[in-house]
Amino acid sequence: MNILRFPAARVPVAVVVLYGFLIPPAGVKAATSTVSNSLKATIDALGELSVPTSVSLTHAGTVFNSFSGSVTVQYLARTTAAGGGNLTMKVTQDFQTGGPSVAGGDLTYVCGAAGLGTACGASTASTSAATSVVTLPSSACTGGGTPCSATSPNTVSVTFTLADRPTVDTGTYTASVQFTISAT
Amino acid sequence: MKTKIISNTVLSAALLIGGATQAFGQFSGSGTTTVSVVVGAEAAISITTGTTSLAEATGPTIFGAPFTGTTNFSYKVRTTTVGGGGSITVKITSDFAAGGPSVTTPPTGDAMTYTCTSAASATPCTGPITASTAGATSVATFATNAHSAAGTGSSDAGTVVWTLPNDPVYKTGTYTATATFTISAT
Repeated sequence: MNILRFPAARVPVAVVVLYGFLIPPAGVKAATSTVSNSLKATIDALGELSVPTSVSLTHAGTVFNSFSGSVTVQYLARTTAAGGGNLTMKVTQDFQTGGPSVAGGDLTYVCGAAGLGTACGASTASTSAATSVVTLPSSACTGGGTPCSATSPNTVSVTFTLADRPTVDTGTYTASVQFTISAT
Repeated sequence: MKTKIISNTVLSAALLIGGATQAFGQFSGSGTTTVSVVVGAEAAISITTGTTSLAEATGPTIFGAPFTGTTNFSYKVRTTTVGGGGSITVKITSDFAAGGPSVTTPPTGDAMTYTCTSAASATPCTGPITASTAGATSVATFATNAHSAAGTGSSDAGTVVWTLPNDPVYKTGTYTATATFTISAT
C-alpha cells in the first residue's frame, strides 16, 4: 500500500495560501453589495369598544316613577377618508316573563356627548334590530389631538329609562345589551 | 369594510344598589352589559275631586234628607307576588268648625258615614263606615299579587260617598273638614 506523504515543507505554504484568501492584501478594497427591502404597513379602518359588565336601574320612591341608570362606553376608532362607522346597541336578551318588556317598548335611552362622532338622540331600545349610539364620520381617529380626538379612549354615556308599569310582577329582572362598533 | 364582531357573554348577578359596575371588559368589536332592575311593591293615589261638596239629597228645607257627596280618586298598585297585600284608608284630619257638624263628637245619631267603590284590583270597604278623626278607616283592600290597570299612565278608580245627617242643631254657615286618604302596598 502506498501512503501518500506530504513533505513537511509544504504545510507552511498551504497555510499561507489559505490565509491569503481570508485577508486581502493591503491597498485592496472589499467588495460590498446592498439590497433594499420595502416595508409596507397597511393601516385599516378599525373600531373597538369596552363596556361595563352590568348596570342597575333604580328609582326614587314607591309611586311608579320610571327606573333609570347609565353606562359609559369607551371606544377607539379609525375611519378612512371615504368611510365612516357606527357604534350601536341591541338587546340580545329581554327581561324575564312577568317583568318589563323591551319588545313592548318599556326601555328607552338617550346618549350624552360623544368624544368622537355624533351621539344619538332619544331612542327606544330594540330586541329585533341594532339602534344607534354614535355615528362616526370619515377620517376619524382616536387620541393625539387634532386632527384626531383629544382623548383616548373616547367615551359616550348611555342613560336608560325603564317604564314602571303596575302590571309588572314584583321581582328582579335582567336583560342583556350588546354594543357593537364598526368602521370603514 | 373591516368589522370585528366578537361576542362576549357576561354572566352577572343583579345588583340592588343603583349605578353601573365600572369594571370594563377588554376592548373588542362588541361588548355586553347586563341591565338589571328590582321591581317592588308600589302604590300611589290621586284625589280627582278637588273639593267634595256635601249637598242635601232632596230640597233645601227638609231636615230628614242628609247631606251627601262623592269623592273620586284614582290609584295605581302593585303588591308582592307572594304574601303581599295593601289598603286604602281615610282619616278625618281636620274636623268641621264649632257650631256645625262634628266628626269627633257628633250629636246623637249625627255621625258622618261613607260607602266605597273600587276597580277590580281592590276590594271596596263594606259600608256604611263611620268616619273618624281618631284613626284611619278602611276604603279598600288589596290582595297578594294585585295589579292596577295596564298601560303607561293608566290607573284604576274608586269613590267614597259621604253621608252627613242634616241636624237642625247646626248653625247656618259653611263648614269644611279635611279627609286624608292613604294607600299602601307590600
